[in-house]
Amino acid sequence: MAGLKRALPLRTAVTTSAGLASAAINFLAVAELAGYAGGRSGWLAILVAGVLVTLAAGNFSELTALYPSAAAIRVWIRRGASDQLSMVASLVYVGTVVFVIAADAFVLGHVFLAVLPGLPGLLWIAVLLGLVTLLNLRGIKVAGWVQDLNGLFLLGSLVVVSLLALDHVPAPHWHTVFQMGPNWIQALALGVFVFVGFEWVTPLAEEFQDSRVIPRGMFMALGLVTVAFGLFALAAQMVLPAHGLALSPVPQLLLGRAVLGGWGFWWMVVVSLTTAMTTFNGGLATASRFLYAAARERLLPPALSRLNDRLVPKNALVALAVGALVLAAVVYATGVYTLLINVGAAVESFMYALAAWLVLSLRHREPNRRRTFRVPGLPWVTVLTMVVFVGLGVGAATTASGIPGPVPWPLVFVAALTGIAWWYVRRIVPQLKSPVRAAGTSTRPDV
Amino acid sequence: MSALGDTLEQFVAACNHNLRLQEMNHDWDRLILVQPDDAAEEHWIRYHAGVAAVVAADGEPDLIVEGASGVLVSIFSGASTPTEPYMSGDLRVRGSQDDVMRLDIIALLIWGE
Repeated sequence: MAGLKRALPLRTAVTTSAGLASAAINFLAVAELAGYAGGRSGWLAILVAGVLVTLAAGNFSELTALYPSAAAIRVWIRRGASDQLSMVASLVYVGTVVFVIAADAFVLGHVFLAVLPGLPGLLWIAVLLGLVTLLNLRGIKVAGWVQDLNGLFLLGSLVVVSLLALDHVPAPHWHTVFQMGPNWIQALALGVFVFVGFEWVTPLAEEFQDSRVIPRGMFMALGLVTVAFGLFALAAQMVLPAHGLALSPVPQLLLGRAVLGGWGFWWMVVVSLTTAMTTFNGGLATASRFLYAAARERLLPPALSRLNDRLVPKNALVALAVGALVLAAVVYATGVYTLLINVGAAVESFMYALAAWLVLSLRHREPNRRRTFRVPGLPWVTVLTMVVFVGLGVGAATTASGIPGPVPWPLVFVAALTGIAWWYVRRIVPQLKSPVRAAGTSTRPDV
Repeated sequence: MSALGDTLEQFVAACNHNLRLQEMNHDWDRLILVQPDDAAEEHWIRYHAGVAAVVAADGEPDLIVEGASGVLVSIFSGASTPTEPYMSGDLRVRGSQDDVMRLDIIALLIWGE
């Protein structure tokens, strides 16, 4: 097999996977799960979630080893299940990218509110989201080493601040670190959210010399994220009062201030800013390319494949940014960010279950196709993974979302999203896919 | 010459007759390996200063395009878009995402949607 002149190193696989998983909204997810865990065992929920997500990573590793493609889930589900299911799942999946961007925007707005209380947070959200969109439209890319450095900065900062916090914890506090409350399973389900996005490194498979780098990168990244956010959860539950942790939209700033005073506060402000900006940039860049490809195959309206003179899918990019801004504004106004966390955790859990099923299906459908990675423990571990993640998905979707009343809004939201995507694929896509092929169409780049 | 070889010669000629493509790719210097997985042959295309040429094997490629001969002939002749076989896993393109996308845009500019 011929080698590529320019291939990405293992380091990039690790930092990309860890960086995509480490969104600023993770701090609020940790605060939410800490409330369900009981005692001070939030760290344990993250640790167990990390182990379970590692099983899911094994499945993604086999799928990417089988079909290393930027189209990733679009290809895997199409080969392992059906084209329609592939289209529905791809649309729902890209929707979660918008949720995560909106959720990070919410955190970012509150970080600015804590720093400059005189200016509305929504203004900062609009300015920064607009800035990242503009940079993307101009084709300006964040250098790989900057992204690598940013991922390590976040995880390293969490470890250092958390260890400093834990150094001063009184002995009696340590007795409650294994105390698990009655809603611990909900905490575990929400723990999955901390890892959301780790698998979005798989679309880069074509850029590595050897597709086995992706599994190694994902496993190492999951280890780093588990340690960093597990320590953060432990430190936050040890140092901050329970009600303060539950009610604050910026628990990371509270921990930074509690440990290192003003320096710690500003340190965590910088961490939050760089993390949210990375999420904006990575999310918009990845999702806009997906929308471009989907529009090219007429899964989405052709207007979304329109390129500017820098070969950037401008309409797709602007549509995503506007969608994220509107969603962020709604969440900012209502404060129901937990809905986004729960929906994100549920969608990802269901996707991890689907990945397990795809591994089983493709072992049956394409048994002789070359795989550079085979997940061990097939079929029982794979079946168990599937069952566990269906259960965790249901758990996350039925967890209270901050909206009063008995209605499980995350479940309603996920069901509605899937239903709309299904209707769209059945009714609209056949019309879009009518065989039109003429040179000089409107999707050409503006060169 | 094989059917794929003929097709690539025509593809290169089509690229070089398209002024917008030449302008777009004036600073795109890439070596592309086209490799069918069902035949013992390989073809190389070099893009330099906006001009494409079929060349002899020449070091490590920037992009590797793989698939069945029929699929490769179909997309390089414009009979089908690269998107469909790519999304179904029948076409594999290894290289940076920007370069993969540019290949798709080249096909788009030559043959439309």
